[in-house]
Amino acid sequence: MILKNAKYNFLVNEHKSRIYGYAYFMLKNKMDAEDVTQEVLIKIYQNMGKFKISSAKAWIMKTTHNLCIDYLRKRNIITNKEVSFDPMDNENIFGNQGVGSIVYNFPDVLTSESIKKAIRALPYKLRSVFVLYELEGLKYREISQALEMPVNSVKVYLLRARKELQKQLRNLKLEQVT
Amino acid sequence: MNQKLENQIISVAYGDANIWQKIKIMFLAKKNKDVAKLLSEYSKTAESVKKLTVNFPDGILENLNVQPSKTKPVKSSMAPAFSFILNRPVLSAATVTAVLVIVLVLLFSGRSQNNYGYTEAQIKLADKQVKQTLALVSNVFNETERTLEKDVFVNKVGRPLSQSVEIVNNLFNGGSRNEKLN
Repeated sequence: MILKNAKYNFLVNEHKSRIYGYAYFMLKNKMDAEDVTQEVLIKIYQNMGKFKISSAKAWIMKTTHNLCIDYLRKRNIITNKEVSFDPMDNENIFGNQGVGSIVYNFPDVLTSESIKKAIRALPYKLRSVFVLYELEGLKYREISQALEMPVNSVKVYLLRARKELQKQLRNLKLEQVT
Repeated sequence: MNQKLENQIISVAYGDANIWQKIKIMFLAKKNKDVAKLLSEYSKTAESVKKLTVNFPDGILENLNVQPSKTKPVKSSMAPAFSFILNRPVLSAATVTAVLVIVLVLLFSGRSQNNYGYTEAQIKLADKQVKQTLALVSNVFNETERTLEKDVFVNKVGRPLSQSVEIVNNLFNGGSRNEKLN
């Protein structure tokens, strides 16, 4: 019992911010993120013997991801467009404009809020990979385990997420100008 | 600008690229304004993303039925090292083995030394003194036993006792003679 509590305390202190951060970006709502975080923490306690401490990060993020999906389904937020996003599609995300031909002024200073807004505007699957890799510090293999997708798909999603984020930031700047 | 070059620029900006890609993109950025501009934009975004933090609301833990201990996590400089070891089973096993070996070595090496810090000569002297003390005590007991046997029992107890018995015998003998005379 003491060992179980010690293990639980270690895991909670180690991963609580990661769980909340991921849920916050995926659900775009602090209340729901808090609910998901609580549920994940309870699941960690209940399933303590079912995963090794070495693979806890992937297990926890997979659980968090699945709960986020459940919440989004309940809220009907996942649109058909987002679900049908194809990572292998090599369409230029900048549309018909070539990168070099875009006339824009990229914001000189990126505020924390503008970045958060742009991340939240990413399509669901790109957002999950981007948040896990860039913000939560998971490796390709861990993301692959958590999201149950091949490592190559993770890499493709990440690249596309970075491009899409840049596009969102440009759009934000354009909105501010107009 | 082709897709491959753009992907490489993104990788360099986010710090994923290898050294050759970095050199290549840096070189191209000096020659081409578009590459430099794109690299600058992505680098700015990457830098901002890495600085991004989401504060964990502590109220979540307070409302939780299954609460972890209230002790704050120790933010020691050793925490990443512990985390690094604990996350790798092979390293964990090696660390446990090393700790066990160290403990056993310390235990067994400590056995050959006396734990009180006395020298060998001091121990021998103490041993000798203990033997002398015991010998003295033994002598006292022997002397006491001899005194009891030879002086106290014989002279102080045995002799008066036998004299008393003799007197009683004489008295009895005298009494019986008087009875015969009567």
